[in-house]
Amino acid sequence: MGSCHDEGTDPDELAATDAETIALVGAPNVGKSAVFNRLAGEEVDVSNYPGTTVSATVGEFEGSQLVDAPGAYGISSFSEEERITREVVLDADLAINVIDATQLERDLFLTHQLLDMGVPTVVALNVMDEVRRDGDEIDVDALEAELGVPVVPTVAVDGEGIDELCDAIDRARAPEETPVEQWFDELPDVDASRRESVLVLEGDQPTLDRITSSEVLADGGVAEVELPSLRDEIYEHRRERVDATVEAVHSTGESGRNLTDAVDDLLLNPVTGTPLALLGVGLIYLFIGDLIAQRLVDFLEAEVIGGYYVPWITAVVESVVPASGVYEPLHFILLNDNLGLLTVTVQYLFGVLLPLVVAFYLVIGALEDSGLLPRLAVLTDRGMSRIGLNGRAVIPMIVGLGCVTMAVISTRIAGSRRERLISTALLGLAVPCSAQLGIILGLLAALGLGWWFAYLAVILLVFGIVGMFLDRTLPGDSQGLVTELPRIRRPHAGNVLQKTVTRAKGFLAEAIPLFAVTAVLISVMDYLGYLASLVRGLRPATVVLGLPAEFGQVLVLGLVRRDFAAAGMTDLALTTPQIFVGLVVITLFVPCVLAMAMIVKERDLKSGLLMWFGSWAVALLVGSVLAAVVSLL
Amino acid sequence: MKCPTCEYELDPLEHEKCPRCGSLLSCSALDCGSCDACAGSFASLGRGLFSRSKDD
Repeated sequence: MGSCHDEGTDPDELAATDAETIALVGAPNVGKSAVFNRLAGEEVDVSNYPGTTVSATVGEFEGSQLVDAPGAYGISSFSEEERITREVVLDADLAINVIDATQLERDLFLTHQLLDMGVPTVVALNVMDEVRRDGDEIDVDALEAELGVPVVPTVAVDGEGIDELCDAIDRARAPEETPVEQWFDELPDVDASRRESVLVLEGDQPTLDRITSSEVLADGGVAEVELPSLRDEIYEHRRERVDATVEAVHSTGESGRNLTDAVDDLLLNPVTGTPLALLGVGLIYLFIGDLIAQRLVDFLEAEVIGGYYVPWITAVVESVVPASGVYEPLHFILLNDNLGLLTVTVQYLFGVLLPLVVAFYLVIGALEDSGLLPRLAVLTDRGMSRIGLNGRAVIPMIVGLGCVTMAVISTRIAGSRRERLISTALLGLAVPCSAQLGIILGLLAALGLGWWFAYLAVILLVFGIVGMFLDRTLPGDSQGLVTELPRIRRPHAGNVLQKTVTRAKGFLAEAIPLFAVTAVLISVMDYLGYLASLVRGLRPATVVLGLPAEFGQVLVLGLVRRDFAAAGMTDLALTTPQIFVGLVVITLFVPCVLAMAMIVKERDLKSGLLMWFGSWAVALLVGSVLAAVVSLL
Repeated sequence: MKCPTCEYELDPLEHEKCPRCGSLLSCSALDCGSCDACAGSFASLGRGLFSRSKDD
C-alpha cells in the first residue's frame, strides 16, 4: 500500500516520446515531493520548509511523465519558481493539484485557477492527519461537488490515500465552462488556448509573449499586442469563489490553542527562542561530537578497521603484489601509511567520514521535518539583516551544514542577486559541510567545551565581518524577510531515514571515486617526491600558522574536499592550540571542487575565482592571527 | 507592498486580505517594515490602533 509506482521507462526516454505529461502542482511545502516520491518511486528530498523544490523534477508514473513543479501559490510569473511552474502547467496534459487541507483558503486559489484554465485536474487533499488532530472536518464529497473534479484525501508522507489517488488520475477533468469567460471579450486578437487566455487576462506578459512570438508578421517581426490589466478583478472574483467553497466544505473544531501553538510562541520569542536554539546546538554537539565522534568512530577506526580490516587487506595485497621490483609503485599506492588506497583511504571513508555524515544527515533531516528551520529564520532575521541578508538565508546556511554544494543551489530562495551573492560567498567561506563538521566536532570534543565555543565564536565572527564587508561594498539594498511558517510537526522517522539513506548514498557515490582518485594522485606524488616539494612550497603558510610542515599535506587534500583535509588532521600529532588553529583554517579554506563548480554555475566564473582566492586569504589571515593569540596562552 | 505569504504585489489600502493566498493584511498580522500603507508615523499609529481594535 501507499505506492503505485511500476518500475518502467526512463524519464529521459519518456521526454523524447509523446508520453502523457502529468504536472504535480501546489503551494510550497504542501507535500508535492512526498506525493512525487510515492507515485514515481523516486527519492526527492521532502522537508517541512518552503522551497525544497526550486526546479522541476521529472519522474515516470505508469508510462507517463510526472513533473514535480516548484511550489507556487498561483500560476503567474512573479518569481523564478512560478515561471517554471507556469511552463510546466501550460505544457501538461493533466495536473495533480496537491493542497494542504489545513490551508484550504490559501490553496484553493490555485485549484480554481487550474480549473479556470481548463487543465484536467485531480486534487490530493494532503495533510489530512493534521485536520483530524485539530478536530476540524472537511466534507470531501461536498468539495468534490463544488470543484467538479476528483478529490482524494491523503497523508503523503505515510502513503495514506496514494492508491486512491492513483485510481483517480484517470478521472482527472476540468469544468467545460469558467466564470472567467465573462472577460474573454477583453482578450487581444491572438490565437490562444483557454489556458493561455486566462493567464493573458490576468496580465501575464510571458504568456502573451509566448503566444505572439509564434505569430510572425509579413515583415518578419512579431505582433505588438497590449496586455489586458484585469488581474485584480479576476483575482478578487476567484477569491470570492474560494471563500464560498471553504465556507461550504470546512467546519472548525473546538480544539482551541494546543501544545504546538505554545511551543511555537516560545520558539519565536527571542528571549526564550535564543536559549532554546543554543540548547539545540548543545544537544547536537553531544550527539555528534560525543556519542558518534568519540565512541562510534573510535570503535570503528581502531577496533573494526584498524584491528581486523587493515591487517587482512595488507596480508591479501602482500600475497599478490610484491613490495619490490616493478610492482613496488603499485604496492606503495595500495598500502602506504600516508593515504594508501586500500588502507588509510578506506579507514577515512568508512571509519571516520561515513558515521559522522550519517549522524549529521539524521539531525538535519529531523530539523527539516519538524518545521524548526523557518522559525530559526525568524529568530535570526535581525542578525542576518546586519550582513545584508534576511532570515531566509539561514536555510541555505543550514543546508550548507549538510552539503555546501546543495546549499549553493538553495541560495535561490534568498531574494535578490545581491543576497544570493552574499549567501554564496559566506557558504563557501565559513560554513563547514557535514562531513567536515563531523570530524571537527570529534576533534573539538577531545579538546573540551571551551575550545568548541572558541571555534564557534571565531567562525561566527569571521562570518559576521565578511558579511558586513560584502553588505557595505556590494551595490543595491537587501529585501525584508518574507516567509511562511509551516506547522511544527513530529518528524516522520521513515522520511528522515529515507532522506538520510538517499543523502548517504549520494555522499558515497560522490566521495568514493573522488577520494580514490585523490588518494592515487597524492600517493603517486608522494612516491615520486613531488608531494614533499608541494608541501615544502606551502611551508611559509604553515610557518605563519604555527603548524608543522605536514599540515601542508592537509591543505593539499583540502583543495579537493574540505572533509578530506579534516580527516587528514586526525593523523597529525598536534598540540591543543595547534589543533584549534588548524580546524579554523580548514573551515575557512577553499570550497571543495564540486561546490566550486556549482558556485561558477549558479553565479559566474569571476565571482567563483574571487571566492576561491578570498578563502585562501581569509583562512591564512585568520589562522595566523589566531596562532599569534594562542601562542600567548 | 508584497503579501508576506505569497509575495503577490498588492495595495494594502484596497484589500483586507491578499486576493491570491487569502492572508489577512491587518496591522496585527503584518509589521510596518513589510507594509507601505501609511504615509507617516501618525498615520501608522492611527491605523495600527484602528486595525487592532477591529481585530479584537
